[in-house]
Amino acid sequence: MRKKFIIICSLGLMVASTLGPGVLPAQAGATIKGVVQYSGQGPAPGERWLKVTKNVDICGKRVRDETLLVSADNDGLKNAVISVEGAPAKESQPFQISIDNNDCVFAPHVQTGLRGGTLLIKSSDEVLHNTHIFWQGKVDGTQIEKTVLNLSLSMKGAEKKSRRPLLRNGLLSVKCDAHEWMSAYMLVFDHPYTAVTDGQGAFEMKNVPPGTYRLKVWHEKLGEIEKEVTLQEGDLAEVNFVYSK
Amino acid sequence: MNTKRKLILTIFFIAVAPMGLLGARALTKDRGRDLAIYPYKVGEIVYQPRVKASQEAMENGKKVYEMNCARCHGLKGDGTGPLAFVLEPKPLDFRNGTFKLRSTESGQLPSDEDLFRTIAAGIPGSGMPAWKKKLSVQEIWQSVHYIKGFYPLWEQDLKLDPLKMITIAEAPEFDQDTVAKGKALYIKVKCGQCHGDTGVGDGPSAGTLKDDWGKKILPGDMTKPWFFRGGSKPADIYRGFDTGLNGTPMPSFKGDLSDTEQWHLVSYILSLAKGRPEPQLVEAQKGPEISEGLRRASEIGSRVGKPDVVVNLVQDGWETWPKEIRVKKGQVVEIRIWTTDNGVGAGHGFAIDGYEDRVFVNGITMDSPKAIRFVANRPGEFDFYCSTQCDPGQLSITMKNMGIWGHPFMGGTFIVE
Repeated sequence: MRKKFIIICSLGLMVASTLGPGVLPAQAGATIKGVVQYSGQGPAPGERWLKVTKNVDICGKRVRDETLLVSADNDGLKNAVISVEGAPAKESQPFQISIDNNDCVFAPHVQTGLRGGTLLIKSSDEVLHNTHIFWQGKVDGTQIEKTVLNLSLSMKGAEKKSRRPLLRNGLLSVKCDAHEWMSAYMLVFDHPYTAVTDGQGAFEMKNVPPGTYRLKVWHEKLGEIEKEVTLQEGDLAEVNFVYSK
Repeated sequence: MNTKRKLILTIFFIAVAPMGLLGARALTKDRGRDLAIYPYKVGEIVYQPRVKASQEAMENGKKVYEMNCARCHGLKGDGTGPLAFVLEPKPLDFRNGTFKLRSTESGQLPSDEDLFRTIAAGIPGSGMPAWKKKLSVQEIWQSVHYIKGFYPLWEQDLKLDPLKMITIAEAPEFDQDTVAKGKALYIKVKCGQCHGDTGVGDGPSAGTLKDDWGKKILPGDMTKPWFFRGGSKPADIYRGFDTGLNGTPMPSFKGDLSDTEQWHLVSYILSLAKGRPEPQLVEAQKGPEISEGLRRASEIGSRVGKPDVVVNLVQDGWETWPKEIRVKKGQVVEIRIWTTDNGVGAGHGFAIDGYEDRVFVNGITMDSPKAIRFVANRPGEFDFYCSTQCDPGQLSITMKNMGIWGHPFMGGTFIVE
């Protein structure tokens, strides 16, 4: 069965939308795949570095700046988060995500989590790290940024678990006060229909229940863009995004 | 705003704003002080009778808040009251439910008792006074309920994440052995990353720390426990290690050490406390009728020779001890002034009515402690008072003549027999 999808450009963005061929997947629901590109923002930034100002014996003299990673091959944007807004919630299933402090860099830099899950925080460095997590969101029109967790990782191999950061939907920013260059983000949703783009800007999410949704892209530096998508059972939708000025 | 106007405003706020404290002049006399290390003792905190949250409590809390707290914390609870600009550290912004002093896990809200204790006892090393001197137990509870309202998710958070209280066992006896073990643990859990190898707060990460509002913040100086925000009793330090200080870089170290080890670490931290530095002798600074003749007559400062009487005077929690200084006519008196209220806006002064040409010190908190030496050759009973640091003299005198002190609990009687 072949089918075409109507994809509506929203917000007047110059978005190149590609309509892909549909293939009936084995699982229920639809599959969404695509690429998020940086192109519209001008020339892609090259490799950038952050200066290490302390504990150079463990951290090295510099670490890669992961706040804006663009592929030289295809302008693909790494670490963008795609989510299906308004997808049906899947409440509190056992689910764990983890973040490692490795060579004084958070790994992964960006990830998504399911509300009600557990966060495992680890350290692979023989240095004092602290994983300081802020919840960011709007309440009654007021932007709130609140510490939801700040745990020490005082030894290599340290592991701590907490459910506290995953109690609410929203954006979590992560910092290590001891090493000010370290940063990471987690986006918490009440459904699993999310993806993080790889080094080529590519993403894929499966088993999305049929329906009409806003497909939202978030990037820490570039903000949010979105498109509307209508999915039917068994669809394979290809949706591409370009961050334009 | 020009500099002069700003100065006048500053003087006004520093001198006049705390007048709200005037309500209760009843001074507690039983508050003994251990000058050596831990001067900040607020005495027992009484939590009863407890006032439950209700419409009435909120309305009364609003009145109490606006009369007393809003000068610093602002009418909207955003920490930008009219006095805020002279205070360092800054008054807390209540709008994101982030509180340093708690008995709860990292990232959690404080309990109602935690808020009550902070209001009642004040915060050492900041401009936050111990309000139990001014407010009734009921008024403190009412303001607790009102302050919670500034963070819109308070009740939701409690449902989502019920408070987990940190429990603290009885502190063991400390000795050289516990100190030595604690020292090894200080290194093991790497307190020195921020607090430095010697605990003075000069670790490799000290220079880049920021609080939750993006403002530069320094790690605590472990050698000055009288400035520990949460108190300097062993249990206070133990608690801070478990809870962390929300809003600051200080994380929760809960679980990193066993209970016994954690007490050893507390033991070591307390061993780092230095005696407070010796007071430096200063000259009378801004007496209203300063007499060059008197200065030449060598009746003040180091020129008067060794003191016959040394008086240790403590200023903390915006209160002064002792309340009475008694000397004999003709004695050389040295008054050593120990203050724990640091920060720009919480600055204090010291002056004696009738001796203002010899005893009038401003900016006590800067490079404290300070001492002043003079000959007590005028007999009688005189009031001593806090002249406040920015006060050029006349304002304090005028206020004093009106029966008002800038910091109303900071006075007493100087008696020359």
